[in-house]
Amino acid sequence: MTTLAAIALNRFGMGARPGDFDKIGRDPRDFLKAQVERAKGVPKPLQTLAGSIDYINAAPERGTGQEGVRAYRLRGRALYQQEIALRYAYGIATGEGFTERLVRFWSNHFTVSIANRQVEPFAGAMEREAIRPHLTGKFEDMLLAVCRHPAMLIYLDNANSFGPNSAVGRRRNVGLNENLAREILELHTLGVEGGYTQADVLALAKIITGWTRQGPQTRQAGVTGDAVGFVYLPAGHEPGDHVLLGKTYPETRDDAQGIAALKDLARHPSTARFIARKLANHFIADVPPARAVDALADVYARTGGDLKAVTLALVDLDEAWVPETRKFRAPEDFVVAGMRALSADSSLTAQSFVQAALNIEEGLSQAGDVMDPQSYQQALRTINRSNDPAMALLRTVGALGQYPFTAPSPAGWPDEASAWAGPDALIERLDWANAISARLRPNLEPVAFARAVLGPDISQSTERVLSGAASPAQGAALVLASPEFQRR
Amino acid sequence: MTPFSRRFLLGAGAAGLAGATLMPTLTLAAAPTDKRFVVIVLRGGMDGLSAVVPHGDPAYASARGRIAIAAPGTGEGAALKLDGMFGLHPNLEALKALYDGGDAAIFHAVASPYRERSHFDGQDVLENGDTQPRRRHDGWLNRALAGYGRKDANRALAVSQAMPLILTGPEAVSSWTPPQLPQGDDDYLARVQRMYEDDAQLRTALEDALATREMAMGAMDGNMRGGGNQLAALARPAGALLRAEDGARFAVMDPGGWDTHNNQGAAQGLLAGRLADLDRGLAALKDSLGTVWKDTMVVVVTEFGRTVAVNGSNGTDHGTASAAFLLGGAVKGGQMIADWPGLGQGQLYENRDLKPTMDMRALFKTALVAHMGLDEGFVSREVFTDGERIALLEQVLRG
Repeated sequence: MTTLAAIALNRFGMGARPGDFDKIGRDPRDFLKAQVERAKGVPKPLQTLAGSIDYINAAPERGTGQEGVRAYRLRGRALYQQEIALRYAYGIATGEGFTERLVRFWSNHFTVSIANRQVEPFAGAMEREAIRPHLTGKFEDMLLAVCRHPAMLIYLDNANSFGPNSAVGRRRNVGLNENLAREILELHTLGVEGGYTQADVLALAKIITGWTRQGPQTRQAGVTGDAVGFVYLPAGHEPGDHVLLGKTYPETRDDAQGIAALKDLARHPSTARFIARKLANHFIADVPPARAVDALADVYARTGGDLKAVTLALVDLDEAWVPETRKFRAPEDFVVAGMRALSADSSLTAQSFVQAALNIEEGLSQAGDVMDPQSYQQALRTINRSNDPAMALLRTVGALGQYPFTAPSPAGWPDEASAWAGPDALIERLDWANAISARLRPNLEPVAFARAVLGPDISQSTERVLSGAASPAQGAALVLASPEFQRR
Repeated sequence: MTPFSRRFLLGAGAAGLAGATLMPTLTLAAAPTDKRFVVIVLRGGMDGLSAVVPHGDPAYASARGRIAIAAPGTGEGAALKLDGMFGLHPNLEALKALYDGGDAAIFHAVASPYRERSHFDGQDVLENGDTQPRRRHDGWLNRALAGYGRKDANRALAVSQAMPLILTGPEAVSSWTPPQLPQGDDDYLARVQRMYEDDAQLRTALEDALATREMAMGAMDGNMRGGGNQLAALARPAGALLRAEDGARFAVMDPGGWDTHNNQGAAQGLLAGRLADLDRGLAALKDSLGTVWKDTMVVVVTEFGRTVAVNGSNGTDHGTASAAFLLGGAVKGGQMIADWPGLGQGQLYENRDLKPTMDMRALFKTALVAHMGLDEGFVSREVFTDGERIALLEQVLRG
């Protein structure tokens, strides 16, 4: 049990479970690199979840009555909740903690929010369909997959952006919506200081007009899309060449113009720096050392945005292995780490989340193809029961301010202590640590438990308080409340 | 504020400036105050042209097309008339009542010094008090707290879980939301405090949280119910915390959801829903503040306005100037204040946005100096970048 092993499990991973320290092996760096090598697509427990295209294809035909439309929407909500239950189950149970943290990092980089209810059925699916497959691939492929995913196309309104001079634009008096284009430049690639102008925002908006999601309307128009849910609608595309960052992208017959532009953005030096800084910010410190950012940006630039190379370089950075824990755990990180720490010794394991997901599945299959809102509402009630542990946990994360896929803006959840360590946020997580420990009643000796999930570096004052705990349950709560557990 | 005190404060400010070179430790600490100041930041960019409708501008109706709010007196869904030029969105009924009752002043064509169109940089400038984003890393309201001689915790409160930048900084501040989970018992929390003794960040945050929770218990007679994150639900407990004698003097609330790129709507729709929540929130705040409403000033601002033209999807994109509200019993209300730049050809900022004609920071500076009693020189120098250039607003406070 060493400090480096604790760093591998807590700073890079989703949090140590008792026993995890024995699985690290001789070199914690190799332990992480092996995960990067193994990371491939969607893990098995999540493969049963519905694809975006399944939901799109289940859409009621135009002219379906209100009941059918409502049932369809409720089905979307049930799918989201099923996704979240399994996502928690997997997050709590997985031994591939580093891979899972990377997934959530990139998922947050490309935030979508279910505050727009139309995004709900697609938000979790986007993580499976656009993030996970490219985790150790090229950044440009992840960028393209995200920008062509129904969740992002809906969330940032590109599904409703039309070239003013396109066939649709002229016929229907609709036009550009620059939302996605702006956020691609500002938040996904170059960064706000990356050197673009309002003219570039408009140019990119025009370049990606016609990029939309499949649905009854595109089906009716007879255009075919990809296997995920994207479709290129030539009639909505702004014709002509467009100049972005000084480079002319000639008109093409298909979506190649946009693909070329996004690939160039992905390989831009500003993107290399922006991504490097964000990674270093997440894994090292709120204000990461310049040398670490430079090193990552360098690898990114040299490899054309090869995320595997960049990730391995991150593991190799000495700056990432300093013993001082400088990252304050965000609420979801804290709750999942808390559940991982407690789950080995409690009845509330990942299995209960899987069960919640199965309940939803059962409800969905009972609802079947019948467009009956009541069947879906029944399915939702099943998982919303107050005694369902998965949904109780989901509410907790919500109460702590980080309900999944509800980040307040396209910038995603903040990654700085200042956002999460305020008085109210802190005391609410302490409330949770107390409540969950009282409920699970883990029978652990507090100091040993602390070492099993935090490693050897426990301060004297923490140890003193832990060893005087009034009960094992209070002891477990104090471990979760300890300064050592708040940071990684 | 009377002309006399204005001159007095200007003089004091000048003395402070001159003194700064001679004796750098000179402070002009303000006396403790019983005034209240609330800042409401509407995150996402509120469309000022739908909130405060320039129905008298000949270009308004055509520029706004499907999302234009009908002129006052034209039936259901029409704007609520303020004067011959402006009207309020039909969902801002409570605000209209405050305006009519002399408790609300309404401003238009207001912007922070920020002139680009990023939410994050826009909010950064609104909160950091600078003229540029990402240059100052603490908030203007936190810096303002340093102007008081007396240091009490809980003087300033974010009614949100996350601490907004506007309140971030070296001065002690707290945050509070209605608890949503069962609260930890005293014995447990006392032990946590002992674990945090050597950890300055956690120790301070927990001390503030415990003090605020105790204050909230007292202010609300132990009845703290969570009510979601809508402004309407948070405004009532916020008012109780401000009303309490030992309660907060400053509060910040920051409801989101104003980024209406898509299906913004007109009298009904997405934006109408946000405005209704704001309106209910303002009414609840006034109600909850009770007798201290007369000592209160509330400023409502947003990081930027939205494009004058409707975009391709029945919404609006990021723009520049927007509207702002100043409310409270301390405000000389019933005024509509705007140096209106116009919406016609050639009158827009960069050919697309409402042109700013007023620095939003004038509202902040006026509130801090004229209402909260802070020294003008201190506010100009320490709180805002280039603060000397921000004019104090005349005639917006009840004398």
